Amino acid sequence: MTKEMFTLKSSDGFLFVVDEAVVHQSVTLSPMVQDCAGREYPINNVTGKILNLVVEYCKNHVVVDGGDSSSSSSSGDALKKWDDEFITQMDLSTVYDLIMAANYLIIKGLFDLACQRVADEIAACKDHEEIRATLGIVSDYTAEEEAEVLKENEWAFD
Amino acid sequence: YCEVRIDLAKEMALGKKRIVAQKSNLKQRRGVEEGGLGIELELVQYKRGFGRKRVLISETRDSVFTSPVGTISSKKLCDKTLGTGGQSRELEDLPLDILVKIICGVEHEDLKQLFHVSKTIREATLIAKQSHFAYSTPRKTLIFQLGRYGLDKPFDLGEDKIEAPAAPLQKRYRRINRNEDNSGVSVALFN
Repeated sequence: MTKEMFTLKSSDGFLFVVDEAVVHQSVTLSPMVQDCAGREYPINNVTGKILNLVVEYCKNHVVVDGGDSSSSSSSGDALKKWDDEFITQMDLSTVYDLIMAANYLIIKGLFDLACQRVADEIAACKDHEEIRATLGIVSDYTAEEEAEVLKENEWAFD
Repeated sequence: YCEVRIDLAKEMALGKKRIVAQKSNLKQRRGVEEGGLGIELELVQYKRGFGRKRVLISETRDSVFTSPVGTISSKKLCDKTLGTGGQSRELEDLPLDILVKIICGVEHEDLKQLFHVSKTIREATLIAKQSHFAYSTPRKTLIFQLGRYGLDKPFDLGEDKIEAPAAPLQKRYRRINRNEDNSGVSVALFN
């Protein structure tokens, strides 16, 4: 059986040729398998840089998910390790983009992975100042509002 | 810069509307549609070191990425392009339901800190708290000692200073059978 190849086109014009197994990991893209073989499928919401990462993720996950499950536990561990390295090497801005892309393409594993990376960053912070610094958030609280929140929290968390 | 401001004002209104709409519909797809449009438009400035503040995006822009609190920090206006930022996306640019999802991945003890970060984060934390943390047990040290007497020891409130902040109170007191004779039980088991 010849493998069908599909061409995905990022919003900035980069082309990625992938096989069916990769496409199937995206709930959004799966239906195109019937329609678009041989044609370019534009993905207008995702840049080449991010789509590249998405494709890389999917390619790695094809091997384990689709194939035979021999030595599944060791390959599962290896995959997890790969996932961890994959997601931690990026800066947060890229992770946010990846979250949006995985959200749009509906790739649950990637979406969860990226969200958890951000959650881990938050969890690693000691206090809200550090969270702000790490995530690059500027507080929109006035001094009064902040005091109010502090008061509110005291009874909410008791 | 004038143009930018006007557009931002327009988008702020848009942004606000969008966020309200999203509150009632937390499905990911909805966030996707809006999010999708935002990404597309962001690309133009994706290169590193892109210094231009002027952005061509505004007209077609129709997303939630404009934080409703964008104007409060004027620094944001200058350094980044409308909402998403010329070079980088901010956490607060993400749709609310995605923020909630992210916050669901943190531990209970971090929730309190998240309230203080910003209004947007607080909102998302509240939702996460109600929908997720109210029904999940925080990761804490084990209070019970199983197997000692074959029964759970009732937990001593005096010793347990660590309390889960958001877990619903579930006090379970087991009957202490220490003084009872359990030999009857063992006979039944091993006969």
